Amino acid sequence: MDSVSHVPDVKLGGPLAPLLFDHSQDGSASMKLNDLSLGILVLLSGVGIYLSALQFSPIPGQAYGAETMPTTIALVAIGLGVFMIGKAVVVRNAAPVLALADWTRSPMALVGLSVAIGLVVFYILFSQAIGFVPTAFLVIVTLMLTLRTRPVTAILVSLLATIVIQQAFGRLLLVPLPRSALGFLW
Amino acid sequence: MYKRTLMSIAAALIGTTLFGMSAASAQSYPDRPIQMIVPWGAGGGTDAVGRVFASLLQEELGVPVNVVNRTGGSGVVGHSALANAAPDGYTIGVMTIEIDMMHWQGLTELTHEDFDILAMVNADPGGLMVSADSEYESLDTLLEAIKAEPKGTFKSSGTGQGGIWHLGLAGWLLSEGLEPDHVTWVPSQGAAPGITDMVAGGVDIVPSSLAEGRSMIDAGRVRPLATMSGERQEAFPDVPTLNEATGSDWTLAVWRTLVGPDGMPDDVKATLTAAIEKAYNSEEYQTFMNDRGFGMRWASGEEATEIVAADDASLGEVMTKAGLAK
Amino acid sequence: MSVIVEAFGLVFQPNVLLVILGSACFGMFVGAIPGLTATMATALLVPITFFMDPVPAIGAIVTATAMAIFAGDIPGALLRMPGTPASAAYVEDAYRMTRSGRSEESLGAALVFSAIGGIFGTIVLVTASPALAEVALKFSSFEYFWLVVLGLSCAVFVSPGSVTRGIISLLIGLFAATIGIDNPAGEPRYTFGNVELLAGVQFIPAMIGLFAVSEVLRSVVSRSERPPVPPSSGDGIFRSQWTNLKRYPVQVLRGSVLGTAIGALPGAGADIAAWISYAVSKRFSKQPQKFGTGHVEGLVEAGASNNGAVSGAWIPALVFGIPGDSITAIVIGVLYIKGLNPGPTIFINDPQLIYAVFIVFFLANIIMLPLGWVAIKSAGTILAVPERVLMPIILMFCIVGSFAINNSIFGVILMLIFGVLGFLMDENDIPIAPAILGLVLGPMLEQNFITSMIKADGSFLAFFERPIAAGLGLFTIAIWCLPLIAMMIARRKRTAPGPNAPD
Repeated sequence: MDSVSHVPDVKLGGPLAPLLFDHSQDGSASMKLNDLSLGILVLLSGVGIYLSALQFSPIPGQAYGAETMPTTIALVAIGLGVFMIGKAVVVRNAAPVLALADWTRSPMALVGLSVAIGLVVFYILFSQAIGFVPTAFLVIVTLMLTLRTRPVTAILVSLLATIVIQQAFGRLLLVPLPRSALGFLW
Repeated sequence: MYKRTLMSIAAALIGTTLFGMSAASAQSYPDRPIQMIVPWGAGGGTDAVGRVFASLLQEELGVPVNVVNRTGGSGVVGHSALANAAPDGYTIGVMTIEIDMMHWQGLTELTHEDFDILAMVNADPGGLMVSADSEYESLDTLLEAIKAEPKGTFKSSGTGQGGIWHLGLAGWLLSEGLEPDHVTWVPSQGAAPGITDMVAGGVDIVPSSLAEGRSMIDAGRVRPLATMSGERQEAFPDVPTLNEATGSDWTLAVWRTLVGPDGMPDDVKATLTAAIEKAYNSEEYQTFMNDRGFGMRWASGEEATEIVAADDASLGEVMTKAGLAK
Repeated sequence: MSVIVEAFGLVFQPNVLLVILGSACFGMFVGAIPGLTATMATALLVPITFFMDPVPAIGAIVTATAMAIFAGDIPGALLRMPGTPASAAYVEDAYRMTRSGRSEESLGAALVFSAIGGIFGTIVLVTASPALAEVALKFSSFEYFWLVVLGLSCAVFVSPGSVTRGIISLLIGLFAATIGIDNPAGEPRYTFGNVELLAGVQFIPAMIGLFAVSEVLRSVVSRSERPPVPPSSGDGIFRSQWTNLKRYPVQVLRGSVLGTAIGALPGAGADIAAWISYAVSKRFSKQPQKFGTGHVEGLVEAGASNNGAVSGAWIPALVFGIPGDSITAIVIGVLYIKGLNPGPTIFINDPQLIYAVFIVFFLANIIMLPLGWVAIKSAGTILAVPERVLMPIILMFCIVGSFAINNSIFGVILMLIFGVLGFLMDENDIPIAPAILGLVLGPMLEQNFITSMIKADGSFLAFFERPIAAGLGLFTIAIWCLPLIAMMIARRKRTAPGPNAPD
């Protein structure tokens, strides 16, 4: 008997759900789509993949080729989407289209999220130009300060971490980390 | 005041860096680590050749030579990274025969002309191999059977669709007066999986280099029928050439060249070529290549470029006839 | 006999032992960092082993990978971030055990049963390698196709939560795997003319993103410090393992056997072994409902399995020069560089080297116990480090790790995309592990399906014509049918009035 197939898709309703999923115990902890909208999203993705797979062609002289895999994925997604929508309509869950988690109302959390993502983007854009050591230090120290680490701790730990990572990867393992424009930091 | 100090410090730093760099390159090449880009994965043949050269060049040039694998996209990713690097001699790499194919397939604009070819350091002729369980003991009986049976009866594998050994097979079939797809191509992730599949009974023929089948040939599981070279290979003296076996004039060898991006200064090229030649002639390299069953081939600058260009033309022709060119 | 004495002489030298110890620590370190895999540990070791003699070079790789596969369990248990994909199957159980204050028991189980699985795999490697490789060599694309379908089925049925969401996750992974040119038709898909996208979605940056970066993002928004884990009592690392061994002897043996066998198959490695063993364990368990809630049973079986696979993967690698997984693919390259051609001749030409490698395997699995103990004890302090300090450093490790695998900033871009994706999936209760498996197995599925169809001239029956393929196929279909039949029986019972209706 497969316990998993027992758990209804409506997370809050299933008696086993709390055992299997931490987040479902408190509905507002996560930002999630309800089953109907998730089903629609899956269905639309399926249709999109199916249409995009039309541009691919089979291997010459064969029945299958580059289009086989995307088309199969698309058909499964369409089937799954229809199933989810049907089930959601029958069950009539009262969950909102998009349940906003508590953190989306907390400016601190939103700032933290954008800073974390922004720092990776910063690394992607500028590490080649200004070198690994300064970029890595900035990334680590900024995120630490955003998360309210004490400044002295943040600066010291960031410096140490940067040097350890640079030495371990750049020196020991010969990973070609971006060279610093300031030659002496390499 | 504070601002001005900061700016002058910054200016001084930038100045020394720029000046330092230009002074260094004029002074003596090389004075910092060199990157060796390998467009294929760690553990493969190209990777092995790149790594042997990296360690030998390191001794020769006195600076670290670090191998960097840039893999994927049928070699396009690594070759592009190499071609787009600064032509200062601090980024060199291994260029493989795929450079003569990818632009015909419409995957990239990149051709061998985007590189400064330093030297060709290895070439392995293609071959034709069957499983040891196969009923065909020689190539002419196999060819007769292929001709007698309808199109698609025989299956062959060893690279992806449109890969080098697919072209090797198509070129051979064309030279025998057959359709290039008379034998059906089964795409595989490379020669080794193709050979495994042949031994397991999945396909009939693998047209890869005999070096790639060596451990299975030694194990008595694979039977080599021919080599696609002008003369017999030293490592496989009992295997006839295509010409001896069926009279076909088709030849194909995959090669590996050491190259840098187009536009390297002449003195840098000269330093590198001299170091590569010394490494090529070293005992370490010769032993390594013989042990692994790889074919030795030396051609420097001009000569290597001619070989690469000639292959570009002949592969383009086969690809067009086989309908693989875009 | 003299050969074995010679082999011992090769291994028991101060510098060789030092290399083994050093690479053991290195493997522990790399494996314990979320997102850095055992494959990566090997790949990063290659340039260093280049300067060594054959025995220490191979010894370094053997030791480092065995350690890394175990150490992958440490961040899995402590932070819910599997250090290597091989630890992903049972990460939920290990983490729940930590949350309920049983971190030492869970990590101890991982350690002890990793060692047992590893030693079992080594014994098989030593005694039965030629015979086993013979079976694996009979596998053609038809058999591989079924094996992949089996792996994917496991991905859906093993993951916690609803099957529907498991399939969504799997589809995300499979779709990501279609990007690029490395497909059987050699046709670029979804690359939009971008050269880097031709190479497709690289597995390691994607995994770092899905598992590690998403976790960093989650910690940034939730900002709640993790509840302090109650200090685990005394020396529980080894004590409870004797009980576990007595309670689950069949599971240990089954995991070791299955793991070694899967490892011996070319192309299937420790991660698939762990998934399949976890699924098998759950399927045959007396308490399947406890899986995913901090139950040690699946951990015992899959932990033995993934280390068994590490040893098993060397069987086809040594005997025929065909890699059993990505790690041994790299090893084969190293062997060649050392002038040792893997293949049957190596057993004739250099038997003392082969025996030396076997001895290193035993050594690695034995020193795993004390070193692992130290690693678990010191890793416990990871929980004492506040997240606001730890997470930024982990983020930096992720960036460097994603970069290092192909030395390309594109890896970091992929990592970020998959990090955000993983975060959103997690918010929507969509499990992440099936996506990873879809990403890994997608290309194998496509490759083996298309090539099988070409070979069989389009006949589906060919998937059942070869005896092993037919066996694997029927087994896979049976696995799919079981839950369906069970569901139908359950529904019938539910509609019929009765006191014993489930749920």
